[in-house]
Amino acid sequence: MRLGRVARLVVALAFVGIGFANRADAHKPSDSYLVLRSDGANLVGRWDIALRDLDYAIGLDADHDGSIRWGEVRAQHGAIATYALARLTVTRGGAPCIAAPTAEQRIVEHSDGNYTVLDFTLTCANASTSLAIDYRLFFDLDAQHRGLVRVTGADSLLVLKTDLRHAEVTLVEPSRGAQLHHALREGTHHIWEGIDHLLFLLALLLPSVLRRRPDGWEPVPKFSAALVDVLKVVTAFTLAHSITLTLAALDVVRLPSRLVESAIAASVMVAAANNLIATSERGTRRRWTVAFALGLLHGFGLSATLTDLGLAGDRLLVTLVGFNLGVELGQAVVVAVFVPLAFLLRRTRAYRVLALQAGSIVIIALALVWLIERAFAVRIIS
Amino acid sequence: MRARVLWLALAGLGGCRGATSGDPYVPARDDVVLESASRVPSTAASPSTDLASATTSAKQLIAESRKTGDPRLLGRAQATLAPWWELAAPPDDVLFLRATIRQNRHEFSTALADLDQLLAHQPNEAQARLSRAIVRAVLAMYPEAMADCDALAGHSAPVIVAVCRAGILSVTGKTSAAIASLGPFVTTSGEWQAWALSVHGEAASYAGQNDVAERSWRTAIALDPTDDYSRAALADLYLDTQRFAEARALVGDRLDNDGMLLRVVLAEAGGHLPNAADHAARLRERYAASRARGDTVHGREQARFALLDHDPALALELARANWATQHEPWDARVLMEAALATSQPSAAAPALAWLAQTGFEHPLHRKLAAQLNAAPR
Repeated sequence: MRLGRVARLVVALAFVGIGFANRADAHKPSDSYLVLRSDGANLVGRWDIALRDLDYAIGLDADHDGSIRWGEVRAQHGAIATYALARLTVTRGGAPCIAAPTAEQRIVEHSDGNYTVLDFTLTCANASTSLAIDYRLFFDLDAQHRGLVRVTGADSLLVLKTDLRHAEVTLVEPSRGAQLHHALREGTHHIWEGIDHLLFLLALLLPSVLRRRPDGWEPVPKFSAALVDVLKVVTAFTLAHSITLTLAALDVVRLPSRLVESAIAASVMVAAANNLIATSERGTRRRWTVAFALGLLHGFGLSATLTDLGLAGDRLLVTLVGFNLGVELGQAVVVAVFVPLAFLLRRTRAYRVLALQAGSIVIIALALVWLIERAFAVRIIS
Repeated sequence: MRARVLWLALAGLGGCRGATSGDPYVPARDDVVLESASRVPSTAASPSTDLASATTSAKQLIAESRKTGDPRLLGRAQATLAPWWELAAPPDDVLFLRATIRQNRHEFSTALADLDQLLAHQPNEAQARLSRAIVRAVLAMYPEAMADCDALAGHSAPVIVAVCRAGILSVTGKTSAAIASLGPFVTTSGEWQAWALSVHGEAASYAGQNDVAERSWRTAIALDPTDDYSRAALADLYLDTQRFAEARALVGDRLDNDGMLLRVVLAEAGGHLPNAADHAARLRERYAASRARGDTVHGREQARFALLDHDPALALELARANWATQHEPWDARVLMEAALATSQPSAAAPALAWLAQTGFEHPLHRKLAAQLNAAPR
């Protein structure tokens, strides 16, 4: 019997699959990532589900052009939430919790592609520490799918699969200290990655070691003078962004992120431009007002990460304070490095020309690019 | 020139702001492409209990999986066979597909059981017989594997029989016979030429004939650029002969494939090429994710990476677990290397036993064995 065409395909698979040696697989089998966090009597969930899997299950390519686009995913938010949450049951103290998706929809990238981030709340009847999870997403469509579940406060990762669909977990609330520490680290991490926030601050601090005269800049004679100026600017900036960070975190004020991000880019331009057009000393002494007024915008930009850290109930204060502190600490480190260096270099022509003037021009140019990118949703250098 | 430097600096700085990969974000515009759509239609809406349509779907998914190298599709194929998957004696079509899927997941013992059952019903089923020869060889059941190859004679094209036999001859110390038997088939163009060349290259490399191996594999890749097996084997040859830049160039930009990424990482590390740390981090993350979900398919590759990553203890653990499921030359090699790296020569005993049993000739294996035998216990 000759091997026919289909046979050849299967043989080739067998061969290529292992052949006389093994071929490593590309890509990755199907996983979803579920994180559950306790929040008083309720639970907060975040479920990352692969778009490829969702497309296979419910179809996401509405216009059948072979590509799954953000608009198509967005339109299916309700359908995705209904499909997924119908295949997850969480009971607390024996009573089932009721799942409800949040309106916000986001995307996240994992090693094997883009996933949708399904944020949801679970309203439970009691605050028992024993949870039971019943997971059955995709098992009927992919026998190798795994649900990787992490319950914060319980150390281990649960791996749920088609022949292990049930898990029981005992919740351990992380101590306030641990939560504070975690929020602090997040805050520091966040400001160090926020180049636009840092450049805004640095643009305002460049003239701190100088004094503006009608015909130019001259170095400030004593460190204490520079220090006072730095403290004014930094405190104003800190106060401003702390206020708006808190307001945004408490959901008192909600601004569209595209607007905020564009405004932040513009604020960086203003801060740097201020260094070039300032002609009087009074103008430069008022920099702290600019720091305050525009710093308000930056708080909104910083608040984006906070939602993932746990902002409900009695842990709100801990998280907010911790995060804020982290941001200030991170900021303080940058300032502590920059200011002595600037003070030492203040007499050099290089500082006045390169750092202050050319530096401000570069910052303006960069901020302009960011502004265009963010306002028009394009990618130039990001 | 200065403007260019400035632009680069700006780009470097500007690129820092924004979501780090791994942070959730809201895409900027509705038309941003996030994924490509599935090419094989889903059976979600109407799951089938009809054998014919289920096996058709499964075959489609398996074929697509082979083309793209995507293991997800095998899980989906398995799901289409769900009504029969747990049966001890499912229909023959299902048996073969189940064996194929299991083979691909390196579940060789259960795959073998399925093939045994299938061939008991249908002894002339050539595809199954070839598959079983391969699985038996992986499990180091060489006489039995050879018997399967011999049984193919008369039912299949001579080239298939020859390649089947040559694969076994080459791992049992008879590389000259293997190379000789493949002679006519590596030059005859046809649908099996690339496969013959692949095995020919392997036999040559085991005999230490690197030039011949390189020529055969290069030809195989030229005939079929999707032949990952030959590509990886050639890359390994380059790595072993310190030709790191060539190994790197051979893999190109196939970074989505874990096996290729491993060779990239090994080449960049060995040759001090750019992006080494970045690619290693990526591979480490992928392997960690694989272990987190409980997969052991990549044990051998993960062990190789662990050795590079200065984690010999992990390498040994992975190599041992890997050896429990498969006994091919690379499996023996990585076990020996891990045993040496952890100064536990006794851990390599199974590999040494395998070497003695097969008479496998590869100079590198011989060298490792000598080192292990000389090592203090």
